[in-house]
Amino acid sequence: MMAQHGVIDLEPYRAAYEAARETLPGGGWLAERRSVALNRFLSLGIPTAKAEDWRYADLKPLRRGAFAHAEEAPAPDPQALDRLMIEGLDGPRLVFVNGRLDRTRSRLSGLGQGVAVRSLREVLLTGGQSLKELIADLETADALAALNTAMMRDGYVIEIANGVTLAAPVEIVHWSHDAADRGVHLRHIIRLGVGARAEIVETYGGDASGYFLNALSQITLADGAHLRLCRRQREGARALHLARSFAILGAARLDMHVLSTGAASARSELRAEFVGEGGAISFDAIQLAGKEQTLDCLSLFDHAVPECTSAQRYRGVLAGGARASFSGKVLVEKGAQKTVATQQARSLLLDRQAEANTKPELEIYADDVICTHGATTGAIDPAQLFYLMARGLDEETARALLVEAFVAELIADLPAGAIADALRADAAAWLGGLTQESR
Amino acid sequence: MSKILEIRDLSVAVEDTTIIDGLDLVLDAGEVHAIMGPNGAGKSTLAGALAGRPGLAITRGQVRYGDADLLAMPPHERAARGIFLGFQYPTEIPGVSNLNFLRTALNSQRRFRGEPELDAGTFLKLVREKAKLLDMPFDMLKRFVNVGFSGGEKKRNEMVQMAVLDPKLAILDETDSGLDIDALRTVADGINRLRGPDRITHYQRLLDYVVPDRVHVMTDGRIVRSGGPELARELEEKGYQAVA
Repeated sequence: MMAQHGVIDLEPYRAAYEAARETLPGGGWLAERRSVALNRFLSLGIPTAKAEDWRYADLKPLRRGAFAHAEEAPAPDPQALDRLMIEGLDGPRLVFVNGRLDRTRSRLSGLGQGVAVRSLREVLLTGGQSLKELIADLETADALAALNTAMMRDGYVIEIANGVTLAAPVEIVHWSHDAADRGVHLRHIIRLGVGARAEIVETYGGDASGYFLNALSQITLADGAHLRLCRRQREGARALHLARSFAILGAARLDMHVLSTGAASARSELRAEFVGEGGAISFDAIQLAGKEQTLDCLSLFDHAVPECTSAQRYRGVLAGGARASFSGKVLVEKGAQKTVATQQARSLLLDRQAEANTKPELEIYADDVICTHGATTGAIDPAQLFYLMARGLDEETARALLVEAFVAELIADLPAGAIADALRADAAAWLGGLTQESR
Repeated sequence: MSKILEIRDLSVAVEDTTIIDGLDLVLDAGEVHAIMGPNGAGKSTLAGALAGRPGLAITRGQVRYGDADLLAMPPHERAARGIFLGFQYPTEIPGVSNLNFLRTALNSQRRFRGEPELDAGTFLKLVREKAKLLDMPFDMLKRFVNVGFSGGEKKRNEMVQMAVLDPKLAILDETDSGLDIDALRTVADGINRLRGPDRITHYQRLLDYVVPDRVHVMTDGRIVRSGGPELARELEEKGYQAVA
């Protein structure tokens, strides 16, 4: 794939797009936008480590292949799929296999008034509403967002009307399989009306076939809305995973929780813009990285109006030759007085070969604000280890408890229930695998 | 009475500096011993060496605990066999609740001793009872270990742990420092209630409420004088220089 002088030949990406063009959902206007977006991608090229936003990411697989759309592969292993589901959730559920909604495995009945949970593909095919307004022009963000607009084939669309509270969390499950060097391009849309409330949990998983998942979420929260969004990243061992959320908040609240354990290389991202005074975001991200994994978390919060609050907490646990990074940027614009923005990033290194990167960044143009950030990177505290052992815990148990504790603080703030339990179990499973390896 | 702990010619170094220097000490089961001495005498190092604190080099001597060679055991085994160190500065452990910590500790010890683990109900009943005895509000047990606790609360927490773990030999390293008078009474009360197993403690204030069987004076890493409870009074009046 490599052309001369190390310049990457992106023509296969054009070919993949051309091949899929006829089957991609959406009307003429969208086809036009897809084409513009593709050209944008081709001219910008795949980001390198020189691009500030992609400094710690590992996008090497994108240089090798073009990632045409994954086939609608044979039925997935039901057990593998079952393991991704969250026990105890009995609300709506959308299951996507290789990036396409699988109706038979989904549960969409009894949604109630003012609640629409649909597949993007179906929305685009049936039309019926102002679609142009529905699809945000994220392609201007960067090359990979442009690639997403060009290639997006499906995703979920959740719309909650003014004043409506979703009775139960919506569960979204993604499974990718038999998709070596294939792409899963998803666009998700979440729109909450004035005073609406919803809880959504996304789980990404797949086999070891080595696919590329590129999911972009548009989140729009009207005044008084409250969205809790949990994301479990448990992709297959060879996957390249990008899950990037772009949020616009009125005087609303967004609580986002990410637990990332899977994939060979993964990016979790939240970019948010406050447009209503009194908006609030909490962003808690945990990355548990082992072996040769590269896990990368990025946030960018734009405090464009006064009296908004953002609180970020990051925990990375790194074993083996893992690389886990957090880049968090807070921009406080001129006039965004009374902004409160906090950032706390901590990394725990279990092996000397592991590499943790933390890059907090504050850019402040207002004078009456409270902005703090703190970052620590270190090994297990010997004093804590001794304290536990002096009370009777053997070293292995004590170490496991301390690692668990390191991340538990963030999970503890989730409301008690099935989702918190699932996150806890994900973390415990990762830790269990670690303990077994060390034996 | 039978010997529970027998320290012979013990020397301990920290980063090439000898802190404990040829110390001898014998404890009989069922007694309370107080080790007193000026700052830097080596009291905390001795406590740490007995519990297995890392970073301490045993350069000479031996410690018999019952029939066993104490210094050969890892810290968790010492704990499971009944040694409890009350920390001078109890460690904060964010993310681990007191209850989870205590239950894991107790059941680790029981597992080591070949005893059945306590189920959640039995454990909770035990902890509630001990916490009440030591005036520890139950809510504090749900909080992360020692996080946000005042100095006094941390020490009280140590006492609750001691009560739940029910050791054979408790080594209390300045358990009374940082306590107000009420907390001090509570802790002393706790120790007295638990009296039976041996306690080594060293601090004058606590001895107003706990009468030791034996008092030892420690300076420069050695026991230089031993006596009855009256020795504690003498120390307070005349100071270490005169007594040693």
